[in-house]
Order: sequence, then structure tokens, then C-alpha cells
Amino acid sequence: MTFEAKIRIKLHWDGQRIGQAELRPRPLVRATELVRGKTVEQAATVIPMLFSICGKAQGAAAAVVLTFAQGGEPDQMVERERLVLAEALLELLWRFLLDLPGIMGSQGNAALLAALRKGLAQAVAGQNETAWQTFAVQAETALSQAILGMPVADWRGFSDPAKLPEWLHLAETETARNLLELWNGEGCWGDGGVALMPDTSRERILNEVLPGLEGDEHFALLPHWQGGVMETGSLARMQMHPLLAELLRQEGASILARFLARLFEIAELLDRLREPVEPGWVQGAALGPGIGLAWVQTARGLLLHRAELDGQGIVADYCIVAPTEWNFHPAGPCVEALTGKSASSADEARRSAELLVQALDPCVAYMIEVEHA
Amino acid sequence: MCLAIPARVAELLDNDSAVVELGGVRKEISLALLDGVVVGDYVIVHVGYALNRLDPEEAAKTLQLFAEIGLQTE
Repeated sequence: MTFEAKIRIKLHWDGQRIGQAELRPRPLVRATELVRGKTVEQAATVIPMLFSICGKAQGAAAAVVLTFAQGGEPDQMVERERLVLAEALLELLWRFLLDLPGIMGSQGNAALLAALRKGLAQAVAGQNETAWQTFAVQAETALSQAILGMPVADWRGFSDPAKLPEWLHLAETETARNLLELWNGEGCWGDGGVALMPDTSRERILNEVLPGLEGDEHFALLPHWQGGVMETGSLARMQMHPLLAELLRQEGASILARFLARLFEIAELLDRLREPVEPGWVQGAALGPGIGLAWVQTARGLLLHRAELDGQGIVADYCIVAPTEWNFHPAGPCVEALTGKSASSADEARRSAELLVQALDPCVAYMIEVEHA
Repeated sequence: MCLAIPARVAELLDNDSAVVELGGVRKEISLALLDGVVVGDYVIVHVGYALNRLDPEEAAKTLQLFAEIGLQTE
């Protein structure tokens, strides 16, 4: 296996539409091979080192799952949650400062993202309330000035999709210009009929997800919710937001809805970053002697860790299920939305797939191939 | 899972970019999100951007971990 794990998507274009879309998931490194035989302390140190963009979430999941597996109760949950929320906030801002501009052919703002990354690093290093509040102000300023073109407080009250065109026309930001293009048609599709993941409550995870995780050896590569595919991420978490709920009624889980959901979620994360409340994104449970489970939300969606220790407290089995495997399942939301999508040229078919992939946001690179059937 | 495999910076280019080496492959990446990178540094790369700098000792440890599970990084 090489280091560059890519998702591969093959479109069969018949001259008028994408007749069939095939998706080959990225090859997975089995987490258990990384940590089997290690002590709990070693595993908890190693796991966050192994992941590039979701290290805080992976670290929190590892700490929680291993503590529960040891029969303990995880500490510092509020602090862990804050790190996970801040990491997600930065990831969501990345979509608007680099990825969306990239796919829409505009410039982007790497310098602002770099400054925000530094701000977060300082907040983490500062380990005090002032440092966190400074980062929150920096992130809110970036959101209101560079992305929304309006105060975040006004954005929070935005609930009517009929008012979207006015904002998109008036806001003088790169994000508004890019979203306007999506609103004008390019982004008003993307629903393949795959359900949005419901709230990941303890009961639901234990009763509706855990049986699959424990009973299906391919679950990490092909995860399912009681046998069904699911979409995870901002739109799933924010589906009850009034504007998004209305947009979902009008055009389903469109590309535009997925990007807007991220913007509403960024505003919500800012509030929770300022005043940490009871952890909701970082959760876990003891499943029995030596066995633990953690479920953590990330920018891209649900992350699951399950750990099993032997009698000496050494890791005997470890499973990680990442959000990318839900959204880029071979029968998941990406494939289902592409199948049947009209496209008058091979280039249009490829462009449609690129937009949808960006809207679903895999955590690895991807390749799209178009075959004229 | 987006594995954080350290890549060695082989060459600095204009426009805030660099060439990194990993697994025998040379690849051009952007340094727009990371300051002060010099040739010989190890960086974590994500979709074409250098994200973090690692000291050589830390990078060696991580590369050893990946090598143990047969991931080709040399």
C-alpha cells in the first residue's frame, strides 16, 4: 500500500446523462494494525500523531475510548470538546477560504486561513480563557468580514430561503459570489435520496450503529446504519435549522444546501467555543470489561472508535470508522446523486462530480474518470 | 482517515511552494499555510498544502510506525 490513498470515481456518461457512477473507496489502513500490542498510554499518544487534519478529534476519541475500556471515566471532557470544536471550525472555514474558491475558479484567501491556524495554535498553547476568547474574536471577524459580509448576529437570524438571493447579490464577498453561482443552478441538485444521519444520541449509537460495527467485519470500509447508507456532516447535523429545513423541502440535499449548512454551523460553533457547555461532540461509553466506544463529531461528520483491551490492559483490537467512508460509500450519497444526473458533455459530467465531491468533502484526494458509454 | 505521513522538503520554489519527497515520489505542494519552512524540514501534507512541521526525530518515529504496518514511505 502506498501513502496516497485516493477515492476513485468512474462516471459512465451516455451522451445525455451519467447513466452509472462507480466509486471505489480509498484503501484503509486498519487501525488495529497501528496500535495492537501497545499499552493504553502508547496507543493514546500514537493515534493523534497518525492523522493530519482531524488530529484533535482522533486524539479525543482515543483518550475517551481507552479510558472507558479501562473501566474509567474520562476527565477533561469540556477541554477536549473545545479542541474538537475549534478544529472543526477551522476545517469548515477552510472550505470557504480555499476549496470553494478553488472549484469556482476564484482566488481564495490562504493568508487568512494561515492566520486563523496560527490563532488556534496560540489558543491551544495559551491554555487560558483569554487566549480562547481572542481566537473566537479572530474567527468571528473572519466569518463576518471575509465570508458573510454581514455581522454574525444577523446571519444567526437568517431563516427564510426567499431572502437568500438578496444576501447573495448584496454581500461583497468571494463566498457570496461563489454561492450565487451555485444558487443560479449549478448547485441546486445533489440529492440522491440517501438519508441524512439523525442526531447521534447515546441510545441511537448503541442500539442502531454498534450492532453493525461489532457484527460486520467490513464496517470501517463500508459503514451502515442498520443496513442503510447515510450522509453525515454539517447538513445532517443542521437539518433542523429553519432555512435549511425549508431548502431541503424545496430541492433536497443540494450542493448549495451542504455549503450553507456549513456556514450556519460555523456560527453555532463560535458560540459554543466562547462558552463551553456540556460536551455533545465528544462522547463515549463502556461496552463491557476491557471494551470501550467513542463517538465524536468532526467537520466532516461522525467519527467512531472502538477499543478492546486484553487482561493485561494491552490493546487487542482497535477500530476507527471515519466520516469519509459514510459519504463516499459505493452506494452512498455521492454515487446516488451522480447516477442519472443530466450532462450534455463529458466535461459537464466531470464538473458535476467535482462540485458534488467538494460539497461532500472527503478527507483525502480523489480521482474522477469519465467513460463515454 | 487522513494519515499524517511526514514528507521531506527537497526544494523550495517560487510562489510559496516546495517540492517534497515521500515514498519515492516527488510532489509540488503549497507552503501558503505554514511559515519558515526550509529544505530538509519534514512537513505533514494534506491535499497539496503543508500543514505542520515536524522535527526530524518526531518524523522518524512516525515514519517508523507506518513502516511497521507495511505502508510504503521510503
